[in-house]
Amino acid sequence: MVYCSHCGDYCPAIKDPDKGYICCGICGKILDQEIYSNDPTFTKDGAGQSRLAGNILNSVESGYSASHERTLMKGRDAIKHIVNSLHVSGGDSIIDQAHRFYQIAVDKNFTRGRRTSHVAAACLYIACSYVLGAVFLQLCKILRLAEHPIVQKLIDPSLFIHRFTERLLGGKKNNAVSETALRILASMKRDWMQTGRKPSGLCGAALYISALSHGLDYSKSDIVTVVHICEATLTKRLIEFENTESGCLTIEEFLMRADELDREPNSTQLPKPGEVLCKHKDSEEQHFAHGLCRKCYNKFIKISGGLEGGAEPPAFQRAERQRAEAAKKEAKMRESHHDKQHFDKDNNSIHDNNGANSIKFTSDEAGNGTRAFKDPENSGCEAVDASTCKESQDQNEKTVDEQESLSDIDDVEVDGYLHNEEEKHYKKIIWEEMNKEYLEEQAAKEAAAAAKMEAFENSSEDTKQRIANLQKSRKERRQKRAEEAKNSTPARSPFEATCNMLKRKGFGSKVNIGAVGSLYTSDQENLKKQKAEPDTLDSGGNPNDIKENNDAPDEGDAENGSEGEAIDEGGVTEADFDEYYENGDEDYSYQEDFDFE
Amino acid sequence: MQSTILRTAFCCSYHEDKRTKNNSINICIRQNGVLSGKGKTMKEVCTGAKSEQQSKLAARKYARIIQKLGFPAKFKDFKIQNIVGSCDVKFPIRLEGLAYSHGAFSSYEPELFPGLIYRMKQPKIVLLIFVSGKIVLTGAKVRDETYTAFENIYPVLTEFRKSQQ
Repeated sequence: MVYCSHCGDYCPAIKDPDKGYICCGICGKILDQEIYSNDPTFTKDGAGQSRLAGNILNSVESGYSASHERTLMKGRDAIKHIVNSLHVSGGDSIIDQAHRFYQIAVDKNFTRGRRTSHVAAACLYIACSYVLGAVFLQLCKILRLAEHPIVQKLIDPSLFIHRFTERLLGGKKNNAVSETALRILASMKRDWMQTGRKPSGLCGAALYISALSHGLDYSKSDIVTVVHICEATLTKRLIEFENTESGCLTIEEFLMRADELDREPNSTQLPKPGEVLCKHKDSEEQHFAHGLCRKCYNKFIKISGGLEGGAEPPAFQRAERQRAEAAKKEAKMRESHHDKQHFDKDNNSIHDNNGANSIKFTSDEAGNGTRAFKDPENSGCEAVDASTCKESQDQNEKTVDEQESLSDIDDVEVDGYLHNEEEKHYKKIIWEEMNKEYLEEQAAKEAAAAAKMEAFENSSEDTKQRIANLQKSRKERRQKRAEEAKNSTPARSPFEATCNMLKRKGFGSKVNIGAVGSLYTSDQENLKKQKAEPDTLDSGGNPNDIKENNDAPDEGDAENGSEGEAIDEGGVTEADFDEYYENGDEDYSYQEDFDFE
Repeated sequence: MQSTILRTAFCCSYHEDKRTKNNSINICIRQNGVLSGKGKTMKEVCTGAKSEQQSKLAARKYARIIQKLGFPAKFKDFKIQNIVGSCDVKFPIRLEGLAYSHGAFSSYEPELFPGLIYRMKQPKIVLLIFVSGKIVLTGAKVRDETYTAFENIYPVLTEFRKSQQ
């Protein structure tokens, strides 16, 4: 952001990578022109090889090179685009917040291998706290938000109903349809249809039923475009709902029943004894039920429908059905095999034989099935236990002596794995054919290496020495850095974080550490004033300017550092951050008397 | 050296593309469905066995194969890296309640994955808990850790069990 005299305001700056000037993003006025060239120059060294002039550290702007700015700007544009198209409230402040997250993500190389739009969306999510996807979870880990309360929020599908209704009806707001949909959703929750499912799927089904029951003719494909699930899922949810009790009622009966349930007093339970385990465990909240304080318990009931009554979840019903089928099969097996001892003998022989007969396999399964029925709780563990005991008995003697020699392994089998001469020949042909590109690459690499070696041989003695030294020092540096990175703990203060970053980027010796320290002790005014400067940075090759230039980008780091502080550690900012999200907490409860107008 | 192996060996599938990328081969030993991978430094990884003994047996079979091809193979430092177990508690579980109550350990995002991911600290095991009552436990280095983890989680699960009507 730079101050544009034409606009009279702070505007986003656009930096032209070719010409090197900086112009205002809104009116286009050129604000600054770079004098120094960004392009690299080459010189020839003693051996006749072209080398890059100057040091290997080619971005003296310490990480805020033109391409970095471009990346950040792209991210900001992506965030802005999402905010505009989703009509997210909050405007610029939300964009700024999301953009700050994005900066941290870029610093940690999080944007590599991921689409800009995805990372931008995830940053926006964190800023607005809506669910987005796996990117979000990983980003949370990177930003060390994993333990932060906002990640623990569960999404109530009821929240989406209003938005979807509006979208479906093309902008109009229909109270009745939304109300019915919400009731249907509540009934689904009570019937355990919601646990483990995507909220949008249930919303789609509820909306579909509600719209139809109010006489509005919307097809399944309409719903699908609004809710973004596939038709098969929608059909599945509808069938599941149909199978529940509420699914058999007509719409009037259903609404009557829903009213009755609503009128029942919710908190009929007295506080039960127990330990508070929810996120309020450090405060003085009293335990209400199931390890939750009263507030969390109410939230839990609202979002999930509680533990009492209702139908079984469909996943559980499927599991039960499979168990019933297995029981039936096992009963049939028992009828056909009268001899129980014959059973056990078969089981034993399975472990010794390598070949598997299909009949033997099913009897093994059935054998395991009987064991499973006896102990419902430890079914899987038991069966495995028995078989391994038998195995260990068989092989106990052998394995102890034959540690090194490996001669106990069945040679016949091993020989079966190896090819004979003819097979070898064919395999070679096939493999070479399939991997032609790889072989060509290898050949090219070898030729290049050979050429290098030759050049090396031909060069004079001291260049050889120099090159060898250079390689050794490079390797040592790399190893040391890798070790440090492994052993280092996350920085405890913004000052430490800055020092670490500088060391990593290789400017540790070129920066005045004292000046960096003074940055963090100066007052807020100073920091804010210098915020405008990073955008007007030149790519100065002048060593005298290095210190100055490094100060300004350190501001950027200070920003990042303070941002990190706000998220990680305690301090004044942490309370503000929390407060912001606690208020969002209340917004999550949907209000009955929400005025739609 | 790798090419020598490829030219002389192997029965079942082995994956060529893996090899060109990481300089390793995968061999599938038919009998107990074990898949073995060997890298450039001749470290071998063996997956898919149904018990510790089977895993060791398969690894040794593999070493034997390499030996037979003429390479000086030795079987050293066999170590079990991960044990995965699954079980069924046979009652439905309210994952939301578990997520609220044990928020510090649970990660429940129904939009991503239908199961709740519970990271137990002691023993250090990850459990995938599903609404149908099926549990998957992974990350154990020894068998007993799996059992202990299950013992620990069971009372928590009954807490959020669907009450009988």
